[in-house]
Amino acid sequence: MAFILSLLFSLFHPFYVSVIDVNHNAKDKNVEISVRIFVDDFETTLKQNFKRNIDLHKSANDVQVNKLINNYVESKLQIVIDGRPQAMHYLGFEVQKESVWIFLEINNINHLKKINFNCNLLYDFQDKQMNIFNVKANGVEKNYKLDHPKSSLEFVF
Amino acid sequence: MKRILILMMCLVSTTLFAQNIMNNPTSNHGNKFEALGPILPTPNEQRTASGAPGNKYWQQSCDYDIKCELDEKNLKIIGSETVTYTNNSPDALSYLWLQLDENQHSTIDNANYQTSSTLNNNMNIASIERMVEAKSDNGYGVKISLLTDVNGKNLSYTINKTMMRIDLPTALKPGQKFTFKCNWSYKIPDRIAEFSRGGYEFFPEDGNYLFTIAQWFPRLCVYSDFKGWQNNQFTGSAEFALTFGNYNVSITVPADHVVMSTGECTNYANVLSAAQLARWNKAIVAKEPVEVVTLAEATAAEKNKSAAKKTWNFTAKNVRDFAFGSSRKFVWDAMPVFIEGKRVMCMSGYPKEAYNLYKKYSTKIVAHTIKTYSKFTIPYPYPVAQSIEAANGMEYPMICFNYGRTEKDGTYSESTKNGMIGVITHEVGHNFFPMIINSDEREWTWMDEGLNTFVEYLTEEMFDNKFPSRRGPAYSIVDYMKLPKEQLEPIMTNGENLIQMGPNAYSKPATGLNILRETVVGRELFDFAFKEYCKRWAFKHPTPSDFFRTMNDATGENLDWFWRGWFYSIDVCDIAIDTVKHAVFSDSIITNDRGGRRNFGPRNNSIAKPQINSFEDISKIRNRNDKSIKFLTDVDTSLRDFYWKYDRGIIAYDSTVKMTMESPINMFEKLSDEEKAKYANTHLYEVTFSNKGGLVMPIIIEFTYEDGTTETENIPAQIWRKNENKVTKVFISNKKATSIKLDPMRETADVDEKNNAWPRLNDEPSKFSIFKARQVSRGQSTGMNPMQAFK
Repeated sequence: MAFILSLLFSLFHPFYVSVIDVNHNAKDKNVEISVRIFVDDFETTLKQNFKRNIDLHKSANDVQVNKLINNYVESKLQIVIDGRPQAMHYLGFEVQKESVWIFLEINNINHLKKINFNCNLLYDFQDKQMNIFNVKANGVEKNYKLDHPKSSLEFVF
Repeated sequence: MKRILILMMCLVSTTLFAQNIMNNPTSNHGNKFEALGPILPTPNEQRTASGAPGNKYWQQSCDYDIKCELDEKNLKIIGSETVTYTNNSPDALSYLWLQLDENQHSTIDNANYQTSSTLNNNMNIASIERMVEAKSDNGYGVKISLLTDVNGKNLSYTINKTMMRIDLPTALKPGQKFTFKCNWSYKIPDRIAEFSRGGYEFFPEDGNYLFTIAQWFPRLCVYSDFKGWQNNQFTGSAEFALTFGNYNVSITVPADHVVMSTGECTNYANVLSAAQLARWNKAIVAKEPVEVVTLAEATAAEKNKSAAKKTWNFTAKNVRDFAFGSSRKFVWDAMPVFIEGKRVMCMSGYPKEAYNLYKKYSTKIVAHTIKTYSKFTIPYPYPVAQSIEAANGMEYPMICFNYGRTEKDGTYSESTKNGMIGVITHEVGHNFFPMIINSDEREWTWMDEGLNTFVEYLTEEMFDNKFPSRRGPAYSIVDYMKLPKEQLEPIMTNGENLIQMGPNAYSKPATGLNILRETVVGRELFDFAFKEYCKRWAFKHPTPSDFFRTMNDATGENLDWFWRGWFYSIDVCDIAIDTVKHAVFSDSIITNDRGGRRNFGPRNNSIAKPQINSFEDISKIRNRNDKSIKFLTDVDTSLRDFYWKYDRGIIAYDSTVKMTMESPINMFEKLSDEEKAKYANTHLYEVTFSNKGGLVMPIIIEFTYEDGTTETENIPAQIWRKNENKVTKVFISNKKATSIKLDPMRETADVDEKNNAWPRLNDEPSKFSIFKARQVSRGQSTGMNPMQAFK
């Protein structure tokens, strides 16, 4: 059923991208993460996963919705820094034009040499989903794109 | 045949060279601004160097007479067609190639272009089922039951997966027509499960189907001057190359179905109820959409499920394909729009699941799209334009299948609404690219998708100034463009070989065109050239070189640097400000003679030596030894002067003779007091820019001044032509700047904005002085010469 639902909004040769920006803030000793997804794609994915209709334009303060988003991102994105798995602290989300920005944080990171991602964001929605990573640490920015079904990625700084 | 050979050779050399050839690869210039010439195919009588169809341009045509039945009970299409193919080429053809797209759904006859698959901890059930199904014949695909000539004599044919070759009994000569008959059938697939353009969608709640019938009849491939037969397999991915022609189609469906189709219906009186026919006649002259088939009628039909049949007749002229939707669930509304005085019926068909959205928006978006595209391209030439809600996103001539359903309670989220507006605009827009401006989609996905996405963006921006377009603005492509090179490919890459079509074939070309329009060439020149391209190639088959050449030709700008960088390479725009030097006007003159060059005489006081070559080259020696040569100065001795003797040592050079020199400073005129006052507040900024990303782009520089005002200059990209990596420019103003910024409106898709700013302008500026060089005519002597010394 989930598979059928995922095709309901198919557009031939569509443009399914999300962008994950990760920035190591050495001064504040944390890692700032923002996940940017097209609003309608994300609404469809949430509906599929949690069986309820969500209008993200109206839900910025909805506690339930924020919880669902948090659950979804946690289940689809895992981060390991210098060999240690990390818990992400959910900060909230914001809708800007056609995208929803989800903000998360990892605290107490003094330095970052190697970061590993396991990312399945929106692969349950669309098997043409592409996740672009922009990771900044130690004054250097590295970029990479994950195409379904590839889900693991490593950056060394 | 010879012509084909020559063209084929040109084509082979084109594919070998279809890359960003560098003219001067070891140097820092002479590459990016070179003409595309060697990369593009040689112009010929079919396609000119200016990008227009040539005087010997030809294309084939093909007419279809089709009768078919949609058997809803057995989910089958049964059809018979009479096809007449006209050979307008100069070549004799011994066979014809046809497309059997439905074979892509067969487990044994599909194109079989496989891709890698992997084992995951969680396997999707659909992929498991597919692997099991692939081991046997699933019964899908086209079943040919008859293929004969016009007299009923069997024709020999061969099926190669999704392509069929009909061997002609005698070669079809230039100018001749060939008619054949074909009967076929196929099982209609579940398009939702198969992720297919055509097929059925089943609604379990009311037990009804919505049929999208597309790519449903054996249809001719294109035979062209630039490729011969376009018979690349249909893999379900790269789309279509199709031949123009006229269609007469009879469609038999359950009596309570509404059929929305390419073309115009010729028998509404037979298939509509009296009430519906009356509403149709009202719709033809209405100013707002009129429901021809109402929601009440559709929901009643859903329960009824008639066992009777009706036949709908349609005719379409000068189209490249034919598709239709059929369902008893359809609500149908319509209203006219006038394009240059001609009526175009804009219509929508949608089930109740999309009612609240489609009723309000669909037909009006169709109308807005037709009108807006007509302004940017050519006036829409067809009599109808339709949008059908079918949980889809695909285009055919005069009809497209889109998405946009509401919740059960009829409400919808803003993003669903915006998504629907985007898809309807995009799909209706496809009428222009590629249905009319008929490029080969299988070769170059970007030529229709990129151009259509670009005009879609322009159209969405006209719908609502706040509309959140996904693709178009330059900065939105940056995340894609800064990916590592191994994850990118040039736009000019075959569609089957792209890892991700979306950014490469849709967004990047659309964004590129927007940059050309807003930043490089300007709206007026761009719009004119773009329209010229559309006018030239409407109802013809253009190729990328025709587009690039036409745009250069009609804008009056040589844009080869842009096509090279944006379409043929994966370079990115990353221009950085490296250094800034600031100087202010100073009254005191600075005495290093930086202005002093040839005009101001020798560095020391000696007189000038005779001007003869220090080395006698071989030409001079041979001339002297050639007794047949008479030097003019020997023949006409009046041409001999002081220097003739000086050069031969007849008057000897004496290095001890000294001359008095005028001080260089006296060569300069001092500024008047008025002039000094005028330049008192002059600031000069020398800015060095480096090209870190590879793409040469205009340099857009914005100065912010102490008083808060700003000034922006757009320097055309040609500044990079003599050094593609680094340029320096001096800017002048009468105000002190506090900061400088590159590309403040983010127009160039610059991937690194951190090196675009120069906020550090509080450093102590250096000083400069202004001089006026004394006016000296070209070639005029300036004193202090040997003739004076030897007087």
